[in-house]
Amino acid sequence: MTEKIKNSRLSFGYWFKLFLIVAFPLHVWGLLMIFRDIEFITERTNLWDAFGYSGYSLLFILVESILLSVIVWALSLLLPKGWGESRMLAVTGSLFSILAGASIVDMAFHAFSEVRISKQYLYGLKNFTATTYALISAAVIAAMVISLLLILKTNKGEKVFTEIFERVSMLGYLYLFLDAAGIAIVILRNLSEKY
Amino acid sequence: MDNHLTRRDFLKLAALLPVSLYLPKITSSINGEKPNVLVIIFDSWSASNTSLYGYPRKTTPNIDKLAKNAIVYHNHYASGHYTYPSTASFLTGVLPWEHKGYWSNPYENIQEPYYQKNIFHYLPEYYRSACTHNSLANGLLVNMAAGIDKLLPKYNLSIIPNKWYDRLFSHDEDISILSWIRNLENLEEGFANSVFLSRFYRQFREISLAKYREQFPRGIPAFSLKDNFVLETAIDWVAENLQESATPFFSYIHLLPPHSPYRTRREFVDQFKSDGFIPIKKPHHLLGQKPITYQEQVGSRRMYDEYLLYADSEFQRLMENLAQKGGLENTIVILTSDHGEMFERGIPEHGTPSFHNPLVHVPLLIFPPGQQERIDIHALTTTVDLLPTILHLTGNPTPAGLEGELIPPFQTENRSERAIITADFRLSPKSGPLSDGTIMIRAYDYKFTYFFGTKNKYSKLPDSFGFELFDLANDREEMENLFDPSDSLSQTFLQMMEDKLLEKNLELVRYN
Repeated sequence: MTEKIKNSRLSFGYWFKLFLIVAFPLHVWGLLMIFRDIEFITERTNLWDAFGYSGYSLLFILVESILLSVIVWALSLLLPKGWGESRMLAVTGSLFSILAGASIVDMAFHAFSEVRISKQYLYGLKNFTATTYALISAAVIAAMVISLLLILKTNKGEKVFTEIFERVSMLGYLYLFLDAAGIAIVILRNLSEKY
Repeated sequence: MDNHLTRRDFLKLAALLPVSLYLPKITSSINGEKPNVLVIIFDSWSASNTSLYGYPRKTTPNIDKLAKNAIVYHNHYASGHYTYPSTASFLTGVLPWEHKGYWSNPYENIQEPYYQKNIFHYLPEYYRSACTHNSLANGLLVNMAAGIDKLLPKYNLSIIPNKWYDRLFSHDEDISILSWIRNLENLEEGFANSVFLSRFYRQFREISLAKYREQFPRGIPAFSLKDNFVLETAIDWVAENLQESATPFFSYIHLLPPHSPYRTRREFVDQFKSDGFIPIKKPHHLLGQKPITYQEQVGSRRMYDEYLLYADSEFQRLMENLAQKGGLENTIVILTSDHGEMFERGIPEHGTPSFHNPLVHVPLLIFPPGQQERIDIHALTTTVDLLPTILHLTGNPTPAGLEGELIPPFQTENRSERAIITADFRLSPKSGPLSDGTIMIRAYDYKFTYFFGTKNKYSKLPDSFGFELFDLANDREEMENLFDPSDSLSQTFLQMMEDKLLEKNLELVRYN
């Protein structure tokens, strides 16, 4: 049985499931930023350059997703050997998603003008940086602990997370399709002689 | 044909006589050798902020001193108000309506014939080298690369060169680099496309840049949004490259400072903080962007002026270095800019197609080898004049079709009636009538500007067009628009513009 789990951890299928979970937040944020930039680029150059920019960015996000999923997969090997695949995915997926979510919230805080107003307000507060980052860190750690408790202490918790990640993985296939289109654009642009 | 000199003509010619006496013999050869030519462009360097031209702040103390051995041009104008068209005009010798390099996208290039019809190709016997920090100038140099013996890749001037990335996507440099920046490097703004790798990359950058932070408290100078550089790298490369290069050489060096972001070196920070200089308040311009407070204008101007000190100091270091190694003995150094910079009228930097003097009046100094005296030239000169002048100085023939002319003191004929043109058609199509743009005619003591169009900022124009006429002799700051369609002076300038358009076979979209 242990041998079977071990094999399952080392299998391509397990890594690929992890990859789809990891790719989700990275693509959501990346696509949001790409759409945000498309108008800027089209206005200054042309639509083909905007596609080119999207292609490179998607390729970049794909590479990032692969790298991070390998790292998460390697770290997941450190988890107790007795855990089943769904628990492993629920734990690693939830911890990664919380970290990604925190990183995205931090970036959104700087990226969007609506949030900038509150940023200016916050910057006016004494000890803004230390206080804010202490609060964010506390919130992230709390979210991680809560999700771990839910997964490890309740069967329902593990099931909920597993089902969420299954649905997320379905979207992952759509992102892979977009990534493939991005790669095709990059190849096309680099095959054509510009100069 | 009447060849008799009038008394007036005689006096004009006589006025040029002292200048020609001072001029050393730099025509086609010095001691039988062709002279080397080194062109240094400081991007966005406005004559209006240069102490050499009377700016109250001592922004160019070193250049002011070096000018005692130079020809100083007091009325030199850029052919465009941003890098691409103006640099293209310098390199091709034609105005933006001819080379059509007025799009901001490097791939929407100058007209293809100019890939061969440019200064590098006109100097085939020269060893030609070039480098630049500026992406737009780099795009032009890449187009002309067949005529350049050594073109230093732009990112070699960066503190952290992205060499592998450049090589991997060498056919699509600008867009791939833009993507790299937005994905990884943009975190300086607080966000990037990459959720995690940008954070790791930031740490890597911090380690690499740490030693420069101390030297540049306002941030390390940057090009291509986030690529950091220090001017010293380029200056050292120029000194070294020229030392090693074959002769005669022609070297085109386009350096970014004092282009924004204004990040000067430590010793120049706050140099002008309490100097008591109070810039004149100017009204918001029709094509201006969002209103900028007077305090913001004053602050930006000071940052720019202090950044200019850095450029000035590095230029002096280069000249000293070259002089020590004997590199100036047979070298003509041309120092100028592609366009200027502005802080007031709602026009920060050079983002608006207005042609106020701070944006288009740029410095020009020529340092001929062996020059012992300063010569001041007040005649009107423009970017497109530099190519025919360089060809003359290097003993090369001037090809047909150039729109500039040999400048004084090399040109001894008095050209007081000369009119020069600056133009921008960034939003116009490359073929068909020009739909949006700005045309400026500078003649006598006047400056006439015509704005027309409906796109982008031009949409703010009343009736889709507007005119300005300034008397620069009595109104240097361009505060009073003299344009009046019923006035004969205004009509003269309108006619001059019509004649020029007719001569060039150009048609404008006529609104109303």
